[in-house]
Parts: sequence; structure tokens; C-alpha cells
Amino acid sequence: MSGHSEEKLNVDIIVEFLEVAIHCILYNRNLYPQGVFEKKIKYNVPVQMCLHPDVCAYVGHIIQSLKLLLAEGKVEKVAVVILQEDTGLPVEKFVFEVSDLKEKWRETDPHLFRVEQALRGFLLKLNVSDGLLMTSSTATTWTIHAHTKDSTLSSAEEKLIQMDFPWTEADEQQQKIPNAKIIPVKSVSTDIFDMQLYVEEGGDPLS
Amino acid sequence: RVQHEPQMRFLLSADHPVAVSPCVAPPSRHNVVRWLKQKMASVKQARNSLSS
Repeated sequence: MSGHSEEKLNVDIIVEFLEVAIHCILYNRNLYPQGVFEKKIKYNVPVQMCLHPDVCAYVGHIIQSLKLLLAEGKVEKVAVVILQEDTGLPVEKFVFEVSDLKEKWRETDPHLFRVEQALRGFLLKLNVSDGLLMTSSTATTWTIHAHTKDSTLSSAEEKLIQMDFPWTEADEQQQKIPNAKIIPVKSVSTDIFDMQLYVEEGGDPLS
Repeated sequence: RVQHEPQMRFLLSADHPVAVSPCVAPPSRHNVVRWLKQKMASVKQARNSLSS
């Protein structure tokens, strides 16, 4: 397999996982009613995936955009940011920190068993992360922040506009949660990438 | 050249980190709740027509 297609496979694995993780966060943090979610099995773990066509399409657009950004350069962090509906201020941030992609998996984990096991553990931990956080309110909305470089955005910008899903610099007030508490959730090291998830939680209770 | 080649611009100045987010907002909870209610009503209607 050429280096380019290996890199593409690594990106595919990361974004596929992020897609499942975003659906899980939407369910766990009560962003949408539980009736619009359906239990599915991913990485041999039961997860809740949203059935609403617009939500699925929106998450799909995010995933396509992240793929583009990862192909054009580097995305250091991807954060699912939960915002107060009335003020638009962030109350919670699920931050996925992804390391540089590694190339050695062909020799050490050719069938990606260890990668799958690591992602399984990650999802299991994500599904119980609710217990570590304050009660979620229903008056919230959400967005995604991708932490990248000016040059990566500039390279991908045209394609993102062609996709009809443009991205722009995130509002400064949405980037920082004052007096945030950091709650580490899980970190994994695989032969493809290292990833850690932590939650930044605001000081005031959500409900 | 700097105008037309963005990469040149990033070589001359620093390539700053940036947090980006989609311009389009996600579907609102209100719309999703309405969709769910309509779906439940259509399922109920289908069940009723099957049983009658």
C-alpha cells in the first residue's frame, strides 16, 4: 500500500470514530430528545446514533470537512462545544486531542485489532463520562471547533465552500470557558495515533 | 506573489494556530422534537389502521 493511501486510511479511521463519538455526546448530554436515537453496535460496543436526517447530514458534513482539513494539513484538536442556547456561551467542551499520525501499524498491528480495542475502550469510557459531569440542561445547543493552522484552513477553504459547508474562525467568546474545570476522560496510544479526551466544564451548574 | 500564493504568505509571516467552526448552525432541538412528534403520530396512525 502506498504511503498516501495508508495516510488516507488513518484519517478514515479517526474521522469514523469521531462521527460515532459526536453522536454519543449528543445523546449523553441531552442535546436532542432520546427518542431520536437508536442503539447500534460500533466497535462491538452499543452506542446511540441519531436518526434525524438533518442531524445525520450535519454530522456527516462535519466529518467530510475534518477529512479535508486532515488531508490538507494538521488538526490538533477537535472539540464538541456545548453552548447555552440563549447566550451562546460555552458551558462544556469535549476535547479530542489527536497526535501526529503514525506509520508503523502495518508491521505491528496489520489487522488493526489493537486499534479497534483501543477505540472500543474509548467509547465505553465516553458513554459513562456522564457520571463525571454536572447534569445537562435542555436549553443548550452545540458546535464543533477544529484547532488547526491558518495555512490548513486556507488550503481547504475553497473545497469547503464547494461542499456548501464553509468554516470560519470560531467566536472568541466560544473558545474559552471561564474558570473551567478539566476532567480527563480517556487517553489511548495506538499504532496509528495517540488520542486523549478531556472535558472542560464551566463552574456554574447547567441546570 | 504573496497575494496569489497563500503558502508564500505563511512562509513570510507565522502560520498561526486557529480554531474554526462551521458557519452553518446544527439543527435546532425544537425542529428535532417536532419531527419526532410527527413520526410518533404517523407510527400510531399506521398501527391503528393495521389493527382496525
